[in-house]
Amino acid sequence: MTNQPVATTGGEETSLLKSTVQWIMVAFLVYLLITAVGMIGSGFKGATKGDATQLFEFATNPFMGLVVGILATSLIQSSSTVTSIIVGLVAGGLSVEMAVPMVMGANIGTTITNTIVALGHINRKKAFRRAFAAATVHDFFNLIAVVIFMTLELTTGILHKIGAFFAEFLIGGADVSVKGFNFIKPITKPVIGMVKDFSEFIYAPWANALLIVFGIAIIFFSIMLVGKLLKKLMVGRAKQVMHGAIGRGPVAGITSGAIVTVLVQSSSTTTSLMVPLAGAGSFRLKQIYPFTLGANIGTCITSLLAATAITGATALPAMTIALVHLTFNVLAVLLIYGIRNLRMLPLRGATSLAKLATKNKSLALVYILGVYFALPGLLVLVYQTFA
Amino acid sequence: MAKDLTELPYGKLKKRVIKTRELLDDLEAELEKRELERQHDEVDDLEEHLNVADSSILDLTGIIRNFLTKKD
Repeated sequence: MTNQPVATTGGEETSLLKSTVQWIMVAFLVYLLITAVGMIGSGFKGATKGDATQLFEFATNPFMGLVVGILATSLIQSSSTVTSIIVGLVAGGLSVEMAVPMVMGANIGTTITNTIVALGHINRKKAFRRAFAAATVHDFFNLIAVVIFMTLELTTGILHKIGAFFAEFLIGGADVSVKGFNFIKPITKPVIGMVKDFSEFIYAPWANALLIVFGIAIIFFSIMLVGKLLKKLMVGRAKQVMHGAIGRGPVAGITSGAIVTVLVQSSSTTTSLMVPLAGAGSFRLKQIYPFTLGANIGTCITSLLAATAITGATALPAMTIALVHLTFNVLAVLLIYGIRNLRMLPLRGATSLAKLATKNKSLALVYILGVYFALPGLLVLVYQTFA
Repeated sequence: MAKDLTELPYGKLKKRVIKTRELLDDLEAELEKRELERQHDEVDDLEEHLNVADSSILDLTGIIRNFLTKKD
C-alpha cells in the first residue's frame, strides 16, 4: 500500500516522458514533411530547368487534372498526401490554374475510403443501408461541389483569384521578398542538399527524378506516421471536442469535424470513423453529414503546412494553391450547406442510393467503379473530343 | 375505443388530449436523452472506433470477401 503513490508517480513520469518523445517525433515528422515538399519543388525545378510547361502539358485539360487528383487519392487513400504533393508540383512549375482541378479531384478521391468501409456492412441489410448512406453523403456533397466550383473556376477563375489574394496578403507578392525573415529555408536546405547529393550518388542523370521520388515517399510516410502518433496523443482532445458537439446542431458538427481532422491529420479516418457508428444506428445521417463537411475543411491544414516549405519566387503560387484548397472547401460548405435546397441534395442522393444498393449489392460496386474511374475517364474523352 | 371516444364529454376529451401531448413530449425527451447518452458512450470508445476505422480502411480483402458472400 505504501508503495502505491510512488508507483503512480513513476507511471506518470513514464507516461509524460513517452508523450514528450512522441511530440518530438511529431515535430520531426512535420519537419520531414515540409522538407519533402521542398524536395519535390527543387526536383521539378532542376528537371525542367525552370520551364515546366512541356512536362505538365497533360494537365492543360482540366478534366485530366481532375482525374489525376481522383485516381492518385483513391489509390493512396490520403488527400493530405496528394495535396501536399500538388503544392510541391506547383513549386516545381505547375501553374495554379492547372493544379486547381487536381485539388478538387483529391476531394472526390478521398471519399472512396469511407465508401469502401461501408461495404464492410454489406451482409447486414439495415446496417449497410445506414452505413452506405453515411458514406455516400460525403461523395454526393463533394461531387456537387466540384460541378459548381469547377464550372465557376473554368469560367471566372474565382478560386485561384481568391487564393492569390490571400496568399499575397500572407506572404507578400513577388516583389515583396520575405526571404530575410523566412526561417524555413535555412532549416530545410541542408537536408534537401543531402538527399540531392545522395540522388546524384545513386545515378546522376536521374538525380532530380530521384529527388522527386524521395520527396513523395517521405511525404507519404511522414503523413502516415504523424497521423498514427497524433491519434494516440490527441484522442482525449478529440473526445472532448466530439462530446461538446453532440446535440448542438450542424455548426458544432462542422466545427468538430474540422477540429478532429486537424487533430488526427486524416479526413479519411474522420469520415470512416463515422460509418460504423451510422451503421449501428447511434448517429443519424443528418448528424454525420455536417461532421464530414468539417473533415473537408480540416484536411486543408496539411497543404497549408506544406506550402510554408516553399521559399523564393514559387512561394506565392504554392501558398495560393494551398489556400485555393481551403477556399474551395469553405465556400462549398457555405454555399451547398447554406442553401436548403442544395443542402438536401446529398442527403436525398445518399438515401436513395443506399436503398437501391441494399436491394442490389452489385450496384454498390458499379457506383464505386463508375464514380471514381469510369466517369472521370468519360469526362476526359468528352473534353478532348469537343475542345 | 372509438365508441368510448364518441361518448366522452368535451372537457374530458380536451384534458385527455393535453395529457397525451404531455406524455408524448416526455417520451420524446426521454428518447432524445437516451440517444444522446448512446452517442456520448460511443464517443467514450473513440480509441476503439479509430482503430476499427483504420483496420477497415486497410482490410480490403475482408471487404471484397464480404461483398462476394451472398447473404440476403
